[in-house]
Amino acid sequence: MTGAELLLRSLEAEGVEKIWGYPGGAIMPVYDALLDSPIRHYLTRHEQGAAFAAQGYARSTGEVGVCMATSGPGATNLVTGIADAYLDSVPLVAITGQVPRHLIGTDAFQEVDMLGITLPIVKHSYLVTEPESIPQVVRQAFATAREGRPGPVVIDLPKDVAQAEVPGLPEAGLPEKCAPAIGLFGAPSAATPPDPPGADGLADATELLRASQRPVIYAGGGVEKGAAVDALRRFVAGTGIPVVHTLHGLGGIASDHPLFLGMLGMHGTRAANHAVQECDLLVAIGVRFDDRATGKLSEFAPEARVIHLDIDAAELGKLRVPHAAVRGDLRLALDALERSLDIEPWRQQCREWKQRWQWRYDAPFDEVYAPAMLRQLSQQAPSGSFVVCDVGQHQMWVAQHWCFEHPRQHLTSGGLGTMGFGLPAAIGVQIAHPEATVLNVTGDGSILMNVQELATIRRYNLPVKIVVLDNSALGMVRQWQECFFDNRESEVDLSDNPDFAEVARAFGIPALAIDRTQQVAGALDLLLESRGPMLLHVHIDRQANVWPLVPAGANNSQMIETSQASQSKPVTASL
Amino acid sequence: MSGSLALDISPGTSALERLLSVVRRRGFHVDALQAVRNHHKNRSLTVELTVSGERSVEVLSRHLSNLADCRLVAVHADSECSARRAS
Repeated sequence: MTGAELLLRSLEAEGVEKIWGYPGGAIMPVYDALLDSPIRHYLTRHEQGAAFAAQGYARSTGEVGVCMATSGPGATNLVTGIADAYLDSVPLVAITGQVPRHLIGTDAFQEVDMLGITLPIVKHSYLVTEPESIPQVVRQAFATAREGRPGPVVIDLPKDVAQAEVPGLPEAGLPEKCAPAIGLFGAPSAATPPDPPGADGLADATELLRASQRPVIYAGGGVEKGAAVDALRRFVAGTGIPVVHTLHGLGGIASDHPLFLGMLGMHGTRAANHAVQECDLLVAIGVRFDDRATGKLSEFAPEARVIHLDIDAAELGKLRVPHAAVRGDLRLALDALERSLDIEPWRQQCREWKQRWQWRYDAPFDEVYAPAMLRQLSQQAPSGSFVVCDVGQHQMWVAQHWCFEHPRQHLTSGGLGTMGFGLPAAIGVQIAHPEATVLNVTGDGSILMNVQELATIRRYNLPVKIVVLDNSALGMVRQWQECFFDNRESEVDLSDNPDFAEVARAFGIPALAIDRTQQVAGALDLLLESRGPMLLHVHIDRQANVWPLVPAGANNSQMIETSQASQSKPVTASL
Repeated sequence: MSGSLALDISPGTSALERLLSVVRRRGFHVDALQAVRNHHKNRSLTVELTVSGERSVEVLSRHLSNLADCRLVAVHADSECSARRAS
C-alpha cells in the first residue's frame, strides 16, 4: 500500500464519500489512487471552486467538507476558501500536494510553504513527514475540524510520502471513524459532546434575566453550529423575548415569527437596531460582536447588561465584557435558563416598532425591484430550499427580504465576504442534497469571479438555479462611493458586462433574461419548474441601493435611508 | 497592559511559530521569550512568554488555549493568576 492509498483509506474511515479538487504534479499519486477508491471526486475548474464547493457541502450538512489540490498555485488557490472557512467556522479539510521532502526549502518547482501561508487561517495544519503517520494525521484533522468551534485544517502531503510504500498496515491500524460531534440539523451523535455550561455563569444569567424589563436576544451563527436551533426556539417560546439575528443567525427563528425583529447591524432593520439600542439586557448567543453587527462598539446596546453564551471561550470578553459568561453546550445552557419573565409592555413596544417600520414592496416603477423579486422567489421556492449568496448588495437584499426557515438553508460568506463564493458553494449544496431546490443569488460582479464553475454544473448536470442581479456595476462599492465619497465613482462601472444568458448557454445551461417587473412572475415560475440547471439574468436599476445603512464607525441608531447624492427611488427602496 | 504566560506546547511542526503568530495577530508584542524542550514530558516545549498590548492578556490566553498544540496555558498578569487546560 502506498501513502496515497493509505490517505484515501483513512478518509474512507472518516466517512468521506465526496471530494472536490483539481489534479496536478505533486498530488498525482493521490489522484492515481482515487481511481481505485469508492470516494467520488468532483472536478471543479479552479481550485477556489473546489474549496467553496466543499464548503457548500459542509455548511449545508454539518459534515466535514474535503477539497484537494496540488502544490504551489493549486494550494494557494485554495487559500481564499480556507480563510473563508476560518472566518465562518466551517469544518473543512484541505489536502494539498507538496514537493518531495528532500526538495522542501529549495525553491523547487511549484513549491510554496503552504503550512506557513495558512498558519493564521486554520485551526491546525500538518506537514506529513512520515507515511506511517497518515492515519493519525487524518483522524486528528477531522476531529479538530469538527469539534468545538469548527474550522479548517490543512494536510500538506509531500509527493514522496504519497508514493512511499507503507508496509502492510492492517485494518486495525486504521483509525476508527470519528462521528461528528453534532449530527445533521442538530441531531446529537455519539461523539464527545461539547462541555456542559458552567453553573456560575448560568446562575449569573438567571439573575440578570429576572431583573430585566427590556431584554433582547442577539443570536448568531453559533446557534446553528452548536445544534441549538431547537433550544433557541424553545427559549424564545418560553420567555417571549424579542429576537434579532446576525447574518449567519438568520433562520434561527423563522422570519415570520412574531417575535423576530429582523437582522441587526449595518443593513439591519430599524426595528432590530432600535430594540437593541434600547434594551436593558442583551442575551448574546453564539455571536462574536462583529463590527458589521454592532456598529460603533462603544455605543452598542449602551444601556444593556450582557449575557454571552458561546462554545468558544476566546469569544467571551473579546470585544465586550459580559456580565454573565456561559461557555459550553448552547443547548444545555439555553434549556437551563430562566423562563418566567414579565415583559409584556416591552414586547408590545417591539411589536409596534416592527409594525411601524415593516418593509414595503410597492415600487411604482417598471424596472425589476430586487427586494420584491427576492421576497417573491423565497415565497415561491419549495420548503427546504437552499439559498446560496455571493457578496454585495444582492447578499444584503437576500438577508433582509428572504423568508428563512433554518440557518443551514442560507449559505453566505459572512466573515470574509468573498465575492465568487456563491456559485461553487451552490454546487456543493446541490451534490449534498440532490433532491433539494438550490438557488444561487449572485451579482454581475460576483458571478464572474468563479464563472468557470458553470462548466462543473454542466458536467454533473446539477439543477442549480442561478439568479444574476445585474446592475452593471459593483453595486455595494458604488453605493458607498455615492454615500461617503461624494459620489465619485472609481472603477465600479461594469456596463460592458457580457450577456450572462448567452454565457450560460455557451456552457450548455438554459437561460432567460428579464428587465421589467411584469416579467418576474413568469420568469420565477420557469426557473423553479425547470428540471435541470437554469440561469435567470435580471437587469436592475444601476442606482438601486441597500437601505437602511449604518455608516462605518456610527452607532446602530444612526441609520440612513437615502443619500443626499442619490437620485434613486428612496421611498420605495427604504423601510 | 502586559502579562506573563506559561505554556506547555506539543513538539509538533510549527508549534512555536503558530503560538507567536497568534500573539502577533491578537495585538501583542513579545517582550521576552524562553522555550525549553522538556525531555521528561513527551518532548513538549515549556514556554515562558512576556507580552504587552492594549488588549486583555486573559483573552489572549483563551485564544492560545484554542491551539491544537497548546496543552496548558497559565496567565500571570499583575497579581492575577489563573490556569487553563487547553480543551
